Amino acid sequence: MIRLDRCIAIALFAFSIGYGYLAWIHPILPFEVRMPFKPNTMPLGLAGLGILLSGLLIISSHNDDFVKDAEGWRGFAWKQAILLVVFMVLYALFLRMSGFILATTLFLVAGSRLLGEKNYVRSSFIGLFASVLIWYLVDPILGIYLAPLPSMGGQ
Amino acid sequence: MLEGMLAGLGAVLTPFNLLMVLVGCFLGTFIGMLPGLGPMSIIAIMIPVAIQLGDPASALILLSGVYYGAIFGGSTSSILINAPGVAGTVASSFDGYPMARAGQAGKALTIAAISSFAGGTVGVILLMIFAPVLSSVAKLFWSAEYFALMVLGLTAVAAFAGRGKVIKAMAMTVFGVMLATVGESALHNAARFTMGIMDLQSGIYFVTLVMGLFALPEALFLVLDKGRSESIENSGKIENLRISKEEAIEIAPVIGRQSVLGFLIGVLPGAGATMASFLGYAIERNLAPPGEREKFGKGSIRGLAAPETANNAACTGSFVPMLTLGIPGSGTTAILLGALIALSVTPGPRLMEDQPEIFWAVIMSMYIGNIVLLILNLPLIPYIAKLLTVPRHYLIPFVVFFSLVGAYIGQNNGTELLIMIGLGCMATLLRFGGYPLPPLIIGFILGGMLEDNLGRAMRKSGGLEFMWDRPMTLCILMLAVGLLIYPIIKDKRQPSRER
Repeated sequence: MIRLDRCIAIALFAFSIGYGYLAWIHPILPFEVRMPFKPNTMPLGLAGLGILLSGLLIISSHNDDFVKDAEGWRGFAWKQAILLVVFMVLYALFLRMSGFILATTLFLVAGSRLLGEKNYVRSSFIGLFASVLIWYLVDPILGIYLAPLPSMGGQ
Repeated sequence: MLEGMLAGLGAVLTPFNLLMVLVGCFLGTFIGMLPGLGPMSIIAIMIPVAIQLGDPASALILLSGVYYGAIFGGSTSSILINAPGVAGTVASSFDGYPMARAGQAGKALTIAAISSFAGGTVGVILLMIFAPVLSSVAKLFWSAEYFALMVLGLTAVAAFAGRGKVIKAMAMTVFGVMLATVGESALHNAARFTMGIMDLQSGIYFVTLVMGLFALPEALFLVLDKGRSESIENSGKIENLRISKEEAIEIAPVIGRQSVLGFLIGVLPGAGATMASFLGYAIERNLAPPGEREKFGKGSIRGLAAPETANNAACTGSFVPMLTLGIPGSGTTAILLGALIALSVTPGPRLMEDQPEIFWAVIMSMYIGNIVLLILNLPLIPYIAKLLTVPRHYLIPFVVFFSLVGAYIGQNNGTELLIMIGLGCMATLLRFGGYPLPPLIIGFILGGMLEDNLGRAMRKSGGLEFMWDRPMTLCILMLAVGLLIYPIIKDKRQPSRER
């Protein structure tokens, strides 16, 4: 089985090629053609460096850390971590739509429940208190606009 | 000079102005702890309040207090939850956070407070002595030297790489610089690498990247590995707030060196606290004896004291070009410059002669701010560190929530959060693969300035000749090459010796 660090090196290699290609096809304006420094000068150099370094990593990868980590690979709580990422994505998607207080309270309640909090009343209280407090600090006190409720979300 | 100092001291030491320092430090510390709200945004927010005060001295005293408080607050969130809200405190998390995890949160915060105080104090003294001289040296630097300085900052990456990880660290640095090129550059108006996503037009937001690379993977690791989060809960017990005599002796020379170095870097416009903290960390790691060097990144007190001292000294140093030349040395001083202008004070070469009371009031308020911050924060450390005793099922969602909100505040953009979550997942995989993340963030932070200065230098010299045309540029670049080659040779030599 191919090791993770080598997989990452291959991904970096592919990324560098893609980055280099985008830099190469970047449109240069007529007046920039004869300039010593063009918008793609540094990106092309970086792409070259990226290809060289990731190539070296592909050839020479020997990662003890990963082997060590892989021993505990199965013992990790993957399901919880993936669900937490799903909650984050949902929070990001619905934050503007549902307003800060509702979205944050739901996220904190769901997150704490996922990680073992059984008492919904307590988690709801803490979630609501924290979201209102942060909203109050950010919006009315500091003056940074943060829509608190769905009706005030104003898309 | 003495008259000016006394006038400045007289302006600061009134009950109202002392109250302003106190309020500023407290607000700065509290708000600075929230990831995403760095000194720049806090000062920007406080400017209307400061202008309402009317008196320029009182306004600047309030803003200085906020500035120092925010820096200390930023260090606190770096150390306690590995969520650096600003670039300048990223390096503090490298050793501060492992210390907190090892049950030494109180000690880490004490070292941070003392180092910050010492760095700030030495910085103020140097500012008083060298402000006129140093401003003329800074004028000698042009884009070629700045480019060389950025390259030096990037090659310091070697300091963050453990044995056998030098190429990985270099690859991560290049990857970070690549990310910095997304969006419009300072020299060209056309957006690059945005893939048609409008939100990337102005590039990747710093807070999004730093939260994605540091805070989110930490939260995910805490979920993945339950034992890890239990050790964090235990670390909140502040049994050891004091630092021993041996530890004080150990960090004293670090603080001394980094106060001067940080100040000198801070004087250079554009270099600022971030580069000072990374370079300070790199230098101290290289100077440390072999046994101590291995502790860097795992909870070394030298590794924490160095960036904290350099960061604060550089913050003070960045006032030199602002007060003497009218050139802001950092984003924060740019905002302070705006505040000064709004208060009908024009910083520049004539400020020291025309309005000495303002010049010295700013300097004295920085000094008083440092003292107040130390008095205010040291007793609060046990309470601040109690943050870590929050149960796992609340601590993790709150770390995630603060990270998400940090990226969302001011942007009001859900796409930013999705980018951050994507970066968080990518960073988690990179950590599993043994790829160091600090070089990536260094590359990202310095990438924009690197391209800007390279472009200017190349345009001025018509090519790459600037690298050897100016002796100062050549010297800095040779030093950078040396820094790059040294860890590779060291890596190659060590296994053969062991054999």
